[in-house]
Amino acid sequence: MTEKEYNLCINNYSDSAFRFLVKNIKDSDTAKDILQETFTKLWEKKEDVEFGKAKSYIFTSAYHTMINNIKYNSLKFNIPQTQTITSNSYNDINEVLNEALEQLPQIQKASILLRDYEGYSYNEIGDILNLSQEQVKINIFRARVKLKEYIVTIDNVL
Amino acid sequence: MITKENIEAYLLDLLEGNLSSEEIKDLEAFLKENPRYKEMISLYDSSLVLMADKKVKFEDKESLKRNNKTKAFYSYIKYSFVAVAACFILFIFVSKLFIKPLDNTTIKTYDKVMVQNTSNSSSSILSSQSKADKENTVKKQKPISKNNTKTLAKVEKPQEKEIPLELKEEVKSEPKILLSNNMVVYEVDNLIAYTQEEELNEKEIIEVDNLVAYNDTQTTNPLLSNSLLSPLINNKYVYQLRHNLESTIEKTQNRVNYALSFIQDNIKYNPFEFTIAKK
Repeated sequence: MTEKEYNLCINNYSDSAFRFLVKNIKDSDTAKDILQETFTKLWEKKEDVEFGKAKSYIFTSAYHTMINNIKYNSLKFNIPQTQTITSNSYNDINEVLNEALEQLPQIQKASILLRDYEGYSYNEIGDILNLSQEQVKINIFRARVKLKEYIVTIDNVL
Repeated sequence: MITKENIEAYLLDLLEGNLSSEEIKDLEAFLKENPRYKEMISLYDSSLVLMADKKVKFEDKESLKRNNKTKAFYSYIKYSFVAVAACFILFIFVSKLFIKPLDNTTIKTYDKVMVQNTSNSSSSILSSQSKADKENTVKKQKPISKNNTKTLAKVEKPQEKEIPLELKEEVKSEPKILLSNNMVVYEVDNLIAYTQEEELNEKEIIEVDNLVAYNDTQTTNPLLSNSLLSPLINNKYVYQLRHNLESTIEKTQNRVNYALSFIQDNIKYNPFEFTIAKK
């Protein structure tokens, strides 16, 4: 990968990777740090990473850095990995879905985000998350079932 | 093979239409044996797709970018300017050290010689070159004019075999240096002649390479016929100096002779008396 291609990766993928991280950890500052670390790694390995696989590399690196970050913080501060959203204002289905997303386990959340946000194939998601294709499908299936259950529950409450 | 562990993956493929007919048959057979998994199909809603919020953007893209070439380019430009400036300063310094300013003695081409000839004799032209160049120049010179009219000549490049002569502007002759007591000093090829200002006759002034000499047509001394010396020898004021000196010498000799004769006539030489007187 050339320097020009590296800068092109920043233009093309930094926004989507940043959204992926923010959705997963709900902390834009930490997401920025992780993204910077991710692109630093990409620069250091630019000779080995082809431009066509740069996006996959960025998301893979970002995800694993994020997981390490979450594990480190949970050990350090004993923070639960999932947080409960207490907001009761549901203006549209997307907000409800976003709140429902927070209820999902990390691996399911990452899987469905990569699928829906970035349109990755199950195989690519498996590469990024270091899972088999079957495991990715199971995670996504379970994630969508839980999302529907959450929405149905909210509808019942409202 | 469909198992309880991977049934959800098969259900996902079924709902997304990714199963072959054989896989569908296998799935149907599995669901018959395990009917509770059929309910999971109704729980799945493929329309629940998460939409990315495009407003969320990473703002610090530029901080991540690498611009080594750009930096190198600007660095190159900066140091190039410094190098050019240094070379310019060095050039000026060296040129001041080794390049001497041109003066009349170093100009060897296009020496401009203006002559006003007032006699039938050959003109007195002397450039401001070295002695060797002077000789060459004089040898190559042609007689300018034998008429008693004003003639100007321009001598170009003394190195050339034939020196073109062109009529030019009139001679402007001015005394070079004015001294007190109405004395005027003329410089002829680094030699100086002087006279009283009243004696100047502008029509007989010769200007050679901005040096002024006076052309004395009355000079007839054969010893002074050397063409190299002609500008100086023909100079009236030099001649007067020489004449004054000769007359002074002559007067002095006359006085000495007179004194000797006076002594001889009036004092009788007596060696004995002289010795006494000396004591």
